[in-house]
Amino acid sequence: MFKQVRAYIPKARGVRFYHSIDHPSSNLIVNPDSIESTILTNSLKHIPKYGFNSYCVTKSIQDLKYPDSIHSVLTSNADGKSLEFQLMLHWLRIQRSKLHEHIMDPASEFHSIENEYERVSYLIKQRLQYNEPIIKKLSYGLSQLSTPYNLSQSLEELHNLSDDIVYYAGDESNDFAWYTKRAGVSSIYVASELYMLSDTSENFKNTKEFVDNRVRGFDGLGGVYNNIEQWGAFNAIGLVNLVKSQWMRG
Amino acid sequence: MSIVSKRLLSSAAPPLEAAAKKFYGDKVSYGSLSKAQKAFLDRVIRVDQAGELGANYIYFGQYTVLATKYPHLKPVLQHMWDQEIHHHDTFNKLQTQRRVRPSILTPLWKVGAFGIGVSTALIGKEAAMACTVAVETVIGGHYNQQLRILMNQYQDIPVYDEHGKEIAEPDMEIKDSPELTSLKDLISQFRDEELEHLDTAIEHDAEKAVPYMLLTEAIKLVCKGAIWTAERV
Ligand SMILES: [Fe+2]
Ligand SMILES: [Fe+2]
Repeated sequence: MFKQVRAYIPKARGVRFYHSIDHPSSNLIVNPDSIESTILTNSLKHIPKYGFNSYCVTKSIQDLKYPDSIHSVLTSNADGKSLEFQLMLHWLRIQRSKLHEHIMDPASEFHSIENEYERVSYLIKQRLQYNEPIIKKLSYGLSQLSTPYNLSQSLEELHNLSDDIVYYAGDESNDFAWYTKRAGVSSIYVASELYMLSDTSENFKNTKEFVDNRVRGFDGLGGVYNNIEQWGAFNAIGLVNLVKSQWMRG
Repeated sequence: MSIVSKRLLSSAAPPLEAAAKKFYGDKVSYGSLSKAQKAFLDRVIRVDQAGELGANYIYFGQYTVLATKYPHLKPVLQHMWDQEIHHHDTFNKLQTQRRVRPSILTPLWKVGAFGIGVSTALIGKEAAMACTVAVETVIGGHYNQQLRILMNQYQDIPVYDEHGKEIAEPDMEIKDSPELTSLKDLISQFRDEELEHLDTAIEHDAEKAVPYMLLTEAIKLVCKGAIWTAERV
């Protein structure tokens, strides 16, 4: 359990700190002005054909009519991430931005759902839907994420996704439940995505059912936790009275 | 549309406070916070939330032991406890709105603070008041330190007018975003209230607890250690 939660304590730069109200540009998922993100965003359109391959980046540099030497902007980064891994991370961030745009659209169906857990379920399914155009290429991309060298950054991105989902769904937990919910959504998301890779049902109907079942199984966990805590406080008062009576007797 | 949805959608265009409107209409906007500035705000909210949670539970512990024994202390403790509950609620709200991770040691802060409140109160009401003095001294100082950094390290954020042009020398009223101004106001208000608690505790014989000097110094150390830890985990 503790090991699972450790991934949520930010060490590196990838994890979000603090969501600003009056400084909205501090909250951007990808910086649209940087040259790296211009190249990478344009690369994404080649993924359905070539997969998560550095060839997509080369293609994109050609599309944009940039000189070949511009490659070094991406290859000489300080943490030595491979082009493939950068492409994968960028793709994940763009999907996360898409999810944000989706919930910011007042017309979106999302806004008619009243229950927090149903909203979680909806958001996971919405996010998984963005996998559809590249589903054939996804397993290679995912294998990139889980290599030991990339794992900590992949987990950060996964955490950012589940944090977004739990926040959009309306979570307001102030205690340990904050961690329980995010860890739960992360594990449901990963399990559902793996399920989706081998799902051959029409419109990924089985995957959607899988998500619904998993989320339903998770529902109420935060509540259980708080009940345990209240039980603890109740017993603490009893304990005080016991100690007091012992104290008085000297 | 659900309440959650309304909140999400309205967060896209935050209304600015009256002061900014007076000069520039509602078209004043603010540049990004740096990574370090964001990280500091993140820590401020996490540690203050944990601290107010602790204060809340210390008074809970004191109240549990003292309220029946000393009826005259009941309203005094209740008043301070109510203020701590308000402080704690305020930071809880900030923590969820600003999407800050709460301290992972939340259960430990609850048990520890309740324990401190109960055990000092069991020694006697003077020791309980001495505990309040110790805690509020550390917290008051801690809030002051946060205010100093919020005042000094957030001066370089650009302010833009309605055409997106940077305002070279913005007026005092719009220099800081309402978000930062209200946080500073909040912390200084809470700091003042903590210092009131300190005065109250002294009025209620905290100083008769001189033999417990070692105890209060130990509590101060514990508080400082807890602050250090809660900022990080
Ligand atoms: Fe307080
Ligand atoms: Fe206080």
